[in-house]
Amino acid sequence: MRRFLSAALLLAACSRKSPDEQLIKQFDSVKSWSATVQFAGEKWRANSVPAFFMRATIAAAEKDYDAAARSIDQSRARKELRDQFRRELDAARASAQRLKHELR
Amino acid sequence: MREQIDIIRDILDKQLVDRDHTAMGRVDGIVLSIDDGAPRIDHFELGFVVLACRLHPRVEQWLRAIRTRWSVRKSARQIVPWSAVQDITQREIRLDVHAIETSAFDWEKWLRKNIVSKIPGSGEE
Amino acid sequence: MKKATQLALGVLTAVGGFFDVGNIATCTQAGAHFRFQLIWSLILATIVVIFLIEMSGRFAAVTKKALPDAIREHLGFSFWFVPFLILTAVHLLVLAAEIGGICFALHLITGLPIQVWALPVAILVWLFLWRSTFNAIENSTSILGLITLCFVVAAIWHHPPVHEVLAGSLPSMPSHDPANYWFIAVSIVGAVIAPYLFYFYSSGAVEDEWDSTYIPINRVVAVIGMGFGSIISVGAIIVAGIVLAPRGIKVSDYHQAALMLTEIFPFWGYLLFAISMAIACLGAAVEVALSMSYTFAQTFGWNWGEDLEPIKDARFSLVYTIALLLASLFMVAGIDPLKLTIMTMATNAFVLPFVTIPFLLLMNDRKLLRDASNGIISNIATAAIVVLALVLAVVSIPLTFMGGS
Repeated sequence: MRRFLSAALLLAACSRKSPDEQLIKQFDSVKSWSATVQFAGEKWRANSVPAFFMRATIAAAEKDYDAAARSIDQSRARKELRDQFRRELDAARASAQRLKHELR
Repeated sequence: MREQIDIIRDILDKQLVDRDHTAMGRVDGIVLSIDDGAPRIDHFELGFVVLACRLHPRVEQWLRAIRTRWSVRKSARQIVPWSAVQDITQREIRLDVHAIETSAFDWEKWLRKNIVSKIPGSGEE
Repeated sequence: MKKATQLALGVLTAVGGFFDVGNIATCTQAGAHFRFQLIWSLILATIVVIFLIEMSGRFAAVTKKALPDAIREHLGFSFWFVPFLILTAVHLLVLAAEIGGICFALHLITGLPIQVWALPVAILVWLFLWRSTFNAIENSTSILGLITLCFVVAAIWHHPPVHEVLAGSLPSMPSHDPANYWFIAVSIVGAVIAPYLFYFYSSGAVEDEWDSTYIPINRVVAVIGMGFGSIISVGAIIVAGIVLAPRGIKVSDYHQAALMLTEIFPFWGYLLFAISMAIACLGAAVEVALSMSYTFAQTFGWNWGEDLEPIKDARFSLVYTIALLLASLFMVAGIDPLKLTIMTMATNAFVLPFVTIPFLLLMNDRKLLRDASNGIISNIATAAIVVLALVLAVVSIPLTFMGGS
């Protein structure tokens, strides 16, 4: 049993990507969500989507940002990479905040 | 000329209908009896328990246990004597009975009376 | 004359049955992540589904029996038992995903949370089935379903680069993210070749009392209906590829997909998406729930028919009632509708061999179908389908863990 477990762990470790690659992949969703919020914002200003849709979209985006913040904290990726992603995440959060303010 | 029937291919699992072509279950099991050393079909068996025993004895045990507690049907195995068979066609086996009067419709009748008729729009006058 | 209207209605129904929550989810994902590169998997799946639908209609027309009925009779209960259980589980998942699609569409229209809509939607679908006859259901949902053509209109108005679209029609290796690429390819196949389609279609043919004279009509319905249906799906891929992909928007939530029509229809786009989604999913939910009842009733030999009043086939009616109730619980529990859809479509692909092999065995039974049994082309297609199904079954599981987002 123990031998089987260690073999499984070894296999999992080998198939794992490096911490950098892993974080880059996880951060993909933040890029996608910040693009979504921006696009939805344009459409809201042009009166193409209702305000409640904007709020729901921002809420979904912020949920993803929170998850991303946690994975950056837990990641063992290079410090520069983590710092860069933190800055990008802050920018994404800020633009979501601005839109939320406009929505009021 | 003596008519020959392949009982596994042409009878087992076949649809049963009554005089008015109402579907009333399938041939879940076939029971032979032996008279003077010559086997002949005695009756068909219908019911979930019959199906279960075709899968595995354990499944049959479970189903019997559930049945004793929950079933509305009186017996586990409903029996259709060979003498009730009127006609065997490509599509189905026609029985000389009224489905609604047989225990094949025990569940159907119980559900109609206790559930479906209580829901508006079921077609119950 | 009667046949001509039936032909038209059949085509409409096929179009309506084709485009559902699975297509919306997988096609927008494909377009947003890989632009036009995955159109080939949709085309491949459409060819397969045309063959399978044609076979199941021909089977019903010749034998006057629907698939679950015939499989149990000719292959036996013990053989059918496992595919039957699998089919039931898949029916429930697909039904839950379709209900999720309707709930999300209503969320888009009203702003109320998705969970709130779960039970009202289940009751609405149930009312449809409880009160209507088979043809009323078919005709109304399929005519309303024409609204989904807005995806095709949007795709054309966007003037997609034709050579890129054509290049996407042929299989190619992914430019990036291979696990995700193959995962989406498999889930597109699962969305298009949904197992319930054949069981539903053949039972519907029996309800409509088809006979051998319907074989040509059936062929036309299968080819044109499914062909048109897939054009709507290609439309969705193209629009997502033009609107979402360049902005870097990947679809991991239906909110992201909901924006895709606003570029070309600034005022109506949002509502058009919501209404298309609601109607496409409503039509499919009705079909899946009915398909579940058909499968149960035929497997156990109960009296069945959507044209009967519920009191005349209590067991048949209660199967879809319970199925709708159970399926709505997924949304009540707050499961994300897109994740549920994608997971379900991968499952569809995985179970394909279990639910198609019994059916394909019957199609070659000369005793049953006589001269209408499968010819050489159908059999080559059949062999290809089985191989494809087995490959999908093997790859879909690991891909679910690697590529599922």
